[in-house]
Amino acid sequence: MMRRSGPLTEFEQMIMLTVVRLGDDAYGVSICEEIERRARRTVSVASAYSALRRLDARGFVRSWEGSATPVRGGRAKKHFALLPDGAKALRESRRAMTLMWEGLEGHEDLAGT
Amino acid sequence: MRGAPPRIAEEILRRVLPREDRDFILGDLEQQYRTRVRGGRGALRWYWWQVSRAVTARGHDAIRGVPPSVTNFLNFLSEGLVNEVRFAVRRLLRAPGYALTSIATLSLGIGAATAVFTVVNAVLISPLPFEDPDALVAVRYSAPGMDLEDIPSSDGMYFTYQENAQAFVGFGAWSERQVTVEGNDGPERVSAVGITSTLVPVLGVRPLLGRAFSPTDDEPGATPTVLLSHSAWRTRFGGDPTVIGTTFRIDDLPHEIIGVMPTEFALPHIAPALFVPAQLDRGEASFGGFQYETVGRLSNESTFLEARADIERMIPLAVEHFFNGVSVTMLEQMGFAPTVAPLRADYVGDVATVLWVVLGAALEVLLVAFANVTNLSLARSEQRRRELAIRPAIGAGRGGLVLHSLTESTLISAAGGLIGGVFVVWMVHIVHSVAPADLPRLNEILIGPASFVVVAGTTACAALLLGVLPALGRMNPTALIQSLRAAGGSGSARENGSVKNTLAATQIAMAVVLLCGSGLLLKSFRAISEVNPGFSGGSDVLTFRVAIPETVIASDAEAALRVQEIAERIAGLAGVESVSAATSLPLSTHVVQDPLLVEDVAWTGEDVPPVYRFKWILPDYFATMRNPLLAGRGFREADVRDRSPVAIVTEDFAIAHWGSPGDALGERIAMPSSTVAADNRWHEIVGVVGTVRDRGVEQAPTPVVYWPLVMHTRPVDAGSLFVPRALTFVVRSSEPERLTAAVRASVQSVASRLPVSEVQTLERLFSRSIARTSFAALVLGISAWIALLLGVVGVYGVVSFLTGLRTKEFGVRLAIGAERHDIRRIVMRHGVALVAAGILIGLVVSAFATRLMSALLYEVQPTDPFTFISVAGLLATVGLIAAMVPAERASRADPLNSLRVE
Repeated sequence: MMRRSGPLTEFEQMIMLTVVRLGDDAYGVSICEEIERRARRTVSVASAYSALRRLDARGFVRSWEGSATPVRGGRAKKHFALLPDGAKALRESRRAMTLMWEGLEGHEDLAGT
Repeated sequence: MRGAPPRIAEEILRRVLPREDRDFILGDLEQQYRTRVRGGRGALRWYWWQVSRAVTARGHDAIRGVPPSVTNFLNFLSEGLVNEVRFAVRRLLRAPGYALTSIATLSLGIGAATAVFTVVNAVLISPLPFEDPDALVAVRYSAPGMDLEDIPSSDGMYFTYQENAQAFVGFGAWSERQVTVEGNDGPERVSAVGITSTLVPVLGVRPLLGRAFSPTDDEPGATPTVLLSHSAWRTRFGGDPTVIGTTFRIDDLPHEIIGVMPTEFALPHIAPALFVPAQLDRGEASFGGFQYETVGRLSNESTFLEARADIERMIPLAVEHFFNGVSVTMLEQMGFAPTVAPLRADYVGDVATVLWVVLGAALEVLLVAFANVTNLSLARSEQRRRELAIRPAIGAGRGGLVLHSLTESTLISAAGGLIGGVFVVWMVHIVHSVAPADLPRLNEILIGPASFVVVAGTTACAALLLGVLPALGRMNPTALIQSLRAAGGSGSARENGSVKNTLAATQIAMAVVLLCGSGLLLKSFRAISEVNPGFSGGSDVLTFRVAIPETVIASDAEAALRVQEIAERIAGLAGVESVSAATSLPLSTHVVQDPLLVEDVAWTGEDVPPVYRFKWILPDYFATMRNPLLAGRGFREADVRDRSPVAIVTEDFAIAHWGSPGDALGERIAMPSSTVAADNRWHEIVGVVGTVRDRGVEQAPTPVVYWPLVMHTRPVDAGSLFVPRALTFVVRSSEPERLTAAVRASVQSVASRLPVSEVQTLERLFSRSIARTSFAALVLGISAWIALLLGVVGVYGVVSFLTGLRTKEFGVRLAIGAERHDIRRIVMRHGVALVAAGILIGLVVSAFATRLMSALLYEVQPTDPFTFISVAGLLATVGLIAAMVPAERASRADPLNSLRVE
């Protein structure tokens, strides 16, 4: 797949942050569960992998194969970790958002729970 | 492995997940699934949700770069579909009248069409349940010179073909017979078939259990064996697989049961309980004795023409090898020629016309149902035009609109299809109980994959029709604007109006066609019912068949005495007016035809004399049957006792030979036993009776010659006594069915091992012979009335609806001075136009369509004016009444209210 330029989508950011949080334990299901727990957002394993594949192609994450276990029907596990380019992209996204939010915290239109 | 995710779901995932991540994802999902199973956290639902998301994700990956409208559509599909269905269900629950009417109408149409299709498919379309059935042919002969058709083969011919055929790989033969077995209530007569050991291999069938006959079993004098039919195995032996190898007594001889035939195995026109080896004896075989139905299997390279030529070549060989006095010249004189026809034609017979007619009727009912439901759907979309118009305005794409419409129509169609499917099961069950007993391949009429395909197909068509049509109307932007602006009588409603009018008129037209068809059949049926086949008052005559096999009573003379004793016993029963017996009744299958000599007509002995139907009877036969004597007298007791040389003939025989019944009296006839006149036993004609339709109610009468039950076939030789061993007794009484048990007892008291079979009244015999016509009339009649009902509802619906649209207009008219009857007239004009158009089209189509069923009609023209006019009148009346109701309603409306309607 071609490297795609452009900003990270919100979903991609969530994935990458979760990868960081989970460290060695970052694989398909655990990523989905973590996002569900934290952001209350239901994510399917397939769509998570879809995003991870794109991130891998852009050089933001890397993956490696773990061990196979019977509980997985004898299939191996794929682990993910953030790459420096990915970290850079994340920080840029964060900064962009922060700049957009600047000064608006107390705005009446944004008031709510 | 227990606790593993469902296989089907995994298979789907295997197909949609990208290859490089497939196993990882599957592993993740399985791991999580097991965790959830342990925690009791809806593992299955979660897994399937993952599957659905994977499918969608795959869709998204595939269409990255595709315009947003399509992705919107896909999103809508996956996320919005469930909601859409939920809303559709809610909407339908709020309009129960519409929903129930549509579902009921659809289920009726789909059910009827599928049930009939199932029958037609089994009987006419699907191949015979044999190996390579198109290579199987039935071999018969016709002899137009003797007015004979469908002559079966003889054993001599069978052996000749087996040994000399070039275009065939093999032959099988069979002949039907009645045998006696032990039943629950004593000895029972059942139908059996003697088959050559070659038949089963030639047909290419495998027994369900055990084995078929081997050549050894088929040798004359071999240890008796028997093959059970599937139904006999089920009913007599409870489907017990251990019957193989056990003994079963047939005709008082022990037979070893060697196998059971499968359910779909049947021979044309007969449903035997048992199969026994034919045990044809080559040493005793002869060219004559035509009683074996023969089937041949063509070799790979042969055509029908080559097969026929092969048989033609072999017939003279058979004449030569198995000579019985018939020469090739005689055969040529008779015009004796083989007919080689596909075996399937044998099974189907002439029932094809009936079935196609019936299928046509069912399809019409389906179309009428579709038209009706489409109209309902269009009307409903009109009523919801506001709501539907909004949708495109707020951005729902065309796709979304169609989907919206389709969801509702799919729900309705699915419900209709489901209930229709249940109807099919029920209707097929009814077919099995109501269809003419000799409906070919009845045992193969089962619900199968084809039926499901038809139900699914018609349901899908209905869903598309009902979903797409209204949506199309809504997508026109002009219509949109008009709808939003609509203050009654919107343009799009008028557009749809012409569609609705057309549909309603079409429904009327189809009802006309069906009614004309059924009217014609009804007329035929009535005409046939009134035919006198050679008897009258059939409901008062009980008939039953008795056989006196030589194994039970060896002596012919004693058999004759027993027969008379039976007659005397029965005559003594209370309520019996008269009793007699004959070797065969009119309309029955037991027929004897033989050559006859007439004294006036010289016979050289070179050719075969003309053949006539013979019946041997007891005295009082014609009185019991109520076939009046036209000249002379009936047989007397003395005639039978003294073996008097007398005979009775039917009127057509007398007229053909001597010009009038009276002139036949005193003339002499004989069965030829020799070319020397003096050596033949000449019988004097002492009576002439009315004509008899022996071959069938719808067939022309056949001349019949009646002999006294016991006779000598030669003048001097006492050993030439002939006594028929199988007879049908006829008993006239005011309550014939009450006598059944008493009659059986009388027979058993004379000879306890004589079985009684074919117990039925003459009337039943008559109804069974016209069953084919009555079946068709019944089905067509039902279809016609359903179509009429739906057509009337259709007219009412359209007129009512389109009138409703003009409420405001009528209000205005009334307000500015129009009379109520003016309004009524306007509405009725619309109704009249619809009905008239429908009737006209219907009559024109009927004029062509009814020609297709002329084979089923009896003494009725396909374009019978009385029927057509009656149908037109009926529909005009009913249609106008249907239009009058909305007309009245419109004329009664309060103008103020109408103007307020918006």
